[in-house]
Amino acid sequence: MEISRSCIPYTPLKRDLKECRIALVSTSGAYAEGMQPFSDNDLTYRLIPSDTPAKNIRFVPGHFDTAPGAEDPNVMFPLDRLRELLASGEIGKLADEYIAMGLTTELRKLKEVVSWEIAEKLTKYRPDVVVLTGG
Amino acid sequence: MLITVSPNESEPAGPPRALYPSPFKPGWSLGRPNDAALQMRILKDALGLIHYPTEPGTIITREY
Repeated sequence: MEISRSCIPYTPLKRDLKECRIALVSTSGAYAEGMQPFSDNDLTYRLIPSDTPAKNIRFVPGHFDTAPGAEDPNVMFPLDRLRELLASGEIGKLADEYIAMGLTTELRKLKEVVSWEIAEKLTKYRPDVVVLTGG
Repeated sequence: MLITVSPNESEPAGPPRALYPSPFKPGWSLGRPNDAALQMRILKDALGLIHYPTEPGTIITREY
């Protein structure tokens, strides 16, 4: 299924990064300790507080090698790196929560339903930049 | 700002700004475990594309 048949959603950013609020959205299957892991072909998502320790992040194995992520979650879900950028003043703020999804092949429902739910959640955090990572 | 290690799959989605950090693969898209300097370099390169004068939808490949 072709995912995009419309214009590319490009918005010029006039602010310097050090004035920007950054959010993270990942399809790596990341979840925090204590949260329900993703199941196979899962359309749900997890809201992970941006102050979650990286050592509390888990990944569901199966679709790609998650051993690097088990050793260091920052390879797919760069919590520590974003906090370091904040501490050094290179970015302005972090969103209160990040969004992580599992893997799904239900692309139509992902595009027509879930992506809008995620966009609505993101809008609440008022990010200037959203970093998207996969596995 | 997309960081993708599957550029052929990402391109049809038309990401407005995207970085492919070669040669990394799914499972370690921001570099090697416990290599904070490398991960930071990739993340900063991705964020640097925010103001990069490239055509929207272009996936920039950088070698690491």
